[in-house]
Amino acid sequence: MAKVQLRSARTTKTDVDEAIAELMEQLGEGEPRLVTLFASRDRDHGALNRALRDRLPSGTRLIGASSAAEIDHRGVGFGSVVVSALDGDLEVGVGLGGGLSEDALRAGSTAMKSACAQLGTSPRDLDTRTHVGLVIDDGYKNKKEELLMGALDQNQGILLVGGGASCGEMDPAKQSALVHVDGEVAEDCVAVAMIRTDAPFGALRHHAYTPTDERVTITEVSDDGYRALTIDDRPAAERYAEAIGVSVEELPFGAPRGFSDRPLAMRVGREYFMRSPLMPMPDGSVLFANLLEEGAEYELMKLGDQPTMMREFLEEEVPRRVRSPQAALYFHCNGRQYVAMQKDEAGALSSTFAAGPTCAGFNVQFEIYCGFHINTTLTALVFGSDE
Amino acid sequence: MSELAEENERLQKELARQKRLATRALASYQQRALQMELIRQQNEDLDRLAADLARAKRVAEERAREVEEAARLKSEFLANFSHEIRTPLNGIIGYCDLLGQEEGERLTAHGRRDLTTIRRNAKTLLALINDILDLSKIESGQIDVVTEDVKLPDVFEECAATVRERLKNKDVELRVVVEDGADVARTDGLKLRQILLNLLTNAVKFTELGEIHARARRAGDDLEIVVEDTGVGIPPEQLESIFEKFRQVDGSFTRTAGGTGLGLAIVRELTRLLGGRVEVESLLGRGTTFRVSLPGVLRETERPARREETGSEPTLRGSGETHVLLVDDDPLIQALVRSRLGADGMKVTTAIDGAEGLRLMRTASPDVVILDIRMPKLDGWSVLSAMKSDAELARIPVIILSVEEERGRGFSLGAFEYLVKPVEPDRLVSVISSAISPTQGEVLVVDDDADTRELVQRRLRAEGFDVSHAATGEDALLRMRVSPPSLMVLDLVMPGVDGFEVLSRIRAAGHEFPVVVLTGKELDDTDRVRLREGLARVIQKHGRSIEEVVDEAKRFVTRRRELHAARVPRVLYVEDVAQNRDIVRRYLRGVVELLEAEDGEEGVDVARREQPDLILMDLSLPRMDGWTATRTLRGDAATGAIPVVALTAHASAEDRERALGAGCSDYLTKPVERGQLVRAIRKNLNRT
Repeated sequence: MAKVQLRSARTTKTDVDEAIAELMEQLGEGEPRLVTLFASRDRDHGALNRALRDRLPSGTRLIGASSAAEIDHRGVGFGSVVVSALDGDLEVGVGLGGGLSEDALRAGSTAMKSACAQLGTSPRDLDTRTHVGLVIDDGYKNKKEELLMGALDQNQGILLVGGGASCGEMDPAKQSALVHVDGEVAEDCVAVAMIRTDAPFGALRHHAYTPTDERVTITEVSDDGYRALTIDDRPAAERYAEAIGVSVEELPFGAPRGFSDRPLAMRVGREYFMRSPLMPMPDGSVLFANLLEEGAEYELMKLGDQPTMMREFLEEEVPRRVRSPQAALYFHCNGRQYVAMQKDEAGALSSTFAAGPTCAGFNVQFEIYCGFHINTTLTALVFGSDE
Repeated sequence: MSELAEENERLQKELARQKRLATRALASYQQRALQMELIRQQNEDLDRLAADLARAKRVAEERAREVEEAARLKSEFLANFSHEIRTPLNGIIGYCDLLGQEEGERLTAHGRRDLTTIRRNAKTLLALINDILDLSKIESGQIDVVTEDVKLPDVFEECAATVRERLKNKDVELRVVVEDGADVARTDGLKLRQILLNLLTNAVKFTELGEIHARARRAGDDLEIVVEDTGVGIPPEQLESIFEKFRQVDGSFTRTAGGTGLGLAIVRELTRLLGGRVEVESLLGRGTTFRVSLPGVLRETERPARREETGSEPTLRGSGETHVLLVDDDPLIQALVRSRLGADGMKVTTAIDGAEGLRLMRTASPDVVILDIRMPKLDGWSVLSAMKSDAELARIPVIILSVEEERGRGFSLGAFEYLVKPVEPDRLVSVISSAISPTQGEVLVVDDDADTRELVQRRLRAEGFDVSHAATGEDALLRMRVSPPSLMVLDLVMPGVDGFEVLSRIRAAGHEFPVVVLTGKELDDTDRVRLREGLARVIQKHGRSIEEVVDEAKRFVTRRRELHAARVPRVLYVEDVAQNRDIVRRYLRGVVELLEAEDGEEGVDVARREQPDLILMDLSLPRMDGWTATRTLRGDAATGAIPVVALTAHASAEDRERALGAGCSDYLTKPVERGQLVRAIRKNLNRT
């Protein structure tokens, strides 16, 4: 009989000591195996980390990130600090890989090996039925595919869930992110928390798009792999606009009828992994959030009702896929938040988190699910109970 | 410079190529990740399928447990139902028997008829319950089939004897034949017996005139049992449904015939259980033929040696066993008595006329003679007279079994009992038991004054004595010759042979039993001398004289019991229901010394303390149940050898197995009849 439980706490206090004191008070007594810290980027993360680390038992592992918004069961909050404590039948090892922008492959590999080493094992020897990894990277470095390649180089079967540390800044030039691992707080890095448990768990993902049965093929890709030069052998932006029935000017992400309303997705088995175009480029190409592959066929998707579909996910899919769900860690795409705000559904979307198990999470700069960098998606690590 | 420019260009191309290569490698890795994702999804699907299968298995197991539990509850319900309904039925049938036996002569004709009706209805109800329980058990698969060697002649004879009783008011001949080669079958004897009995019962029920013919014959390795009757027959349209539950042939006659409508359903189910089939043919108004085929049951049986021809004198068993000589020319009676008493462990020798009867009495020394009156060569009266005139034969108790009602003559000639045909087999067994029991008729009250006689008898009975009576001195002497009492209460002044004469003849015959003289006569010296010589204790009739008689009787009998304690079997009856104890106490009065206990714990205590010869054990008992008590007794060196006979209303085969498993030597189900109980006691005492 195994289970993992989660307690969460939130504070909007800006004084570090007061904030941590309040959070610890909300969490109550106990010796958790893992604590997560998601805090608004404008906080003093170093001080928060030290204060929290000082209050935690030495055996408790800590992982965290700066965030664009913080999530608990009350919903999505801004400018706050959310802490969660996981206890029960789990063991945790954490690892940090630095130099992400220079060598993401090595950073990913280092973080994974370190986390596994803390559990006394190696990535190669992990039993994927009882292990699952949390990955938090500096989301603005846009190195997810590479770091995942490094993290999974020894064992591609490892299940990874996570997202990119972020901030609330919209100006790309001012965006920065921080990652916490135990006593360290760093930029340009990736953190892995490897969790071993006999409790039921599931790495889940959810988006609010439905397939339209219309497909396009990426026929030519830029050298960096992120721009589609041609789609269906025609200039990418032009073809895309034609495919969704808008002008090229209406395409940019966030525009009501543009990419965020009609993105692409890659069908993998029974699931659709989002492949979000971000903006049309002056040369007629289209910039994507993901690495593209020439010849790949993608399906055009259609945005649905985010709050309704999110509630269905939490109320139906989560209990269906994880026995007796007790605890959830969410990595909620900033893009979803952006779209919700555009459609004035942010409040409704936020309130749906109460429909799921006790949770903590944050708004991320792109998401990680298994070996993929995906977007406009909520990824989740949910623990249950077999009692 | 140009070289540098060329080199720079080459390096840039190389860098671009490497970058494309890296991008492609990354894309390729993503493809691999895609494959991993597919595998992960498949694994997830498999896990879900495995979980669903595990859940389905759990559900199936749970359902199986529920089914098992339901079956257990049903079985428990059947057992409880059986127990609860048999207990009051035991009381009804038992008290009817007792009333008939003890007070039958005092009842009016109407009273006797009513009593018979009550008893018959109780037995019908019992049969109905048995049928319902049997069918329920068959349907719920709770009946086990055993394979054994079944002697078909015995089965046919037993079943025929059972149903003959029901033919007594009908002009119907019952014939049973077991053909050569069908003597022994490998099947379940109990179920085969039930099949045949139900078919015969059915035939008897619907046949008013003519013949019922039951036969067993070999058909290859198969056994075919055919029961034909010349009864009312079955309409063709109803032949299909005749084996269905609660279905009977419609019509006023069948309503008159009554029955549960389960008999043929049980036949079909039991036949199926034995791997066979049953078929029916019928002509309305002409009769019906049921044919039961049991395939292969004659395959492995050894053909028994041909039975010895009748006429040779049977070998008699050794001492300690009851040997009954039946002198009767009626073969039906011979079969009935042989079957009934044989089943009881008694040896029955038959003589077809009085002369042969007398010859066998001298050569075979039977314990009891059952004597018909109307016989060729030498009639029953002559035989009885001859016996009582012969010192060697006079001691043998004679039970007259006749269609003629001449009880007075029979008793005057020295018969122990006089039964009028038809007699219930159990009644016959009961009388035989009485005839051979040394404790029967412990007190003989001899008085010509009916009121005094009645008063003394009642008072003694109230104290638990067995009492018989004689109104004259002659009657007293006659009874004494047949069955000497433990004590005689004797009046002196009687017409004919007076009390002095009776006392004198008793002592002259060597009888030493005590005599209490209860008299209103003023005794003179001569009288006192005669009484002293006769070792009689004299009580003058006055206000407390009867109480004094009782006290004397108690003293004498207590002393006698003490003297004979080692000889009289002591039986402990463990039973919590007072009514049941009362019935058994009265059933066994004079046959055994009965100890009683009201629960299992007390039963074990009494058994350890008193060391009875046998224990009758109810199973549903307070404080400690009968199974536990039996196991406890078996596990105790002091009581381990005492036979324990379960006497219970739990009637299922499982209950029986459980009781035997707990250590019971035998198993009787309530309601139990006296003869059945005595037989079981005797059988189990003989084993020890």
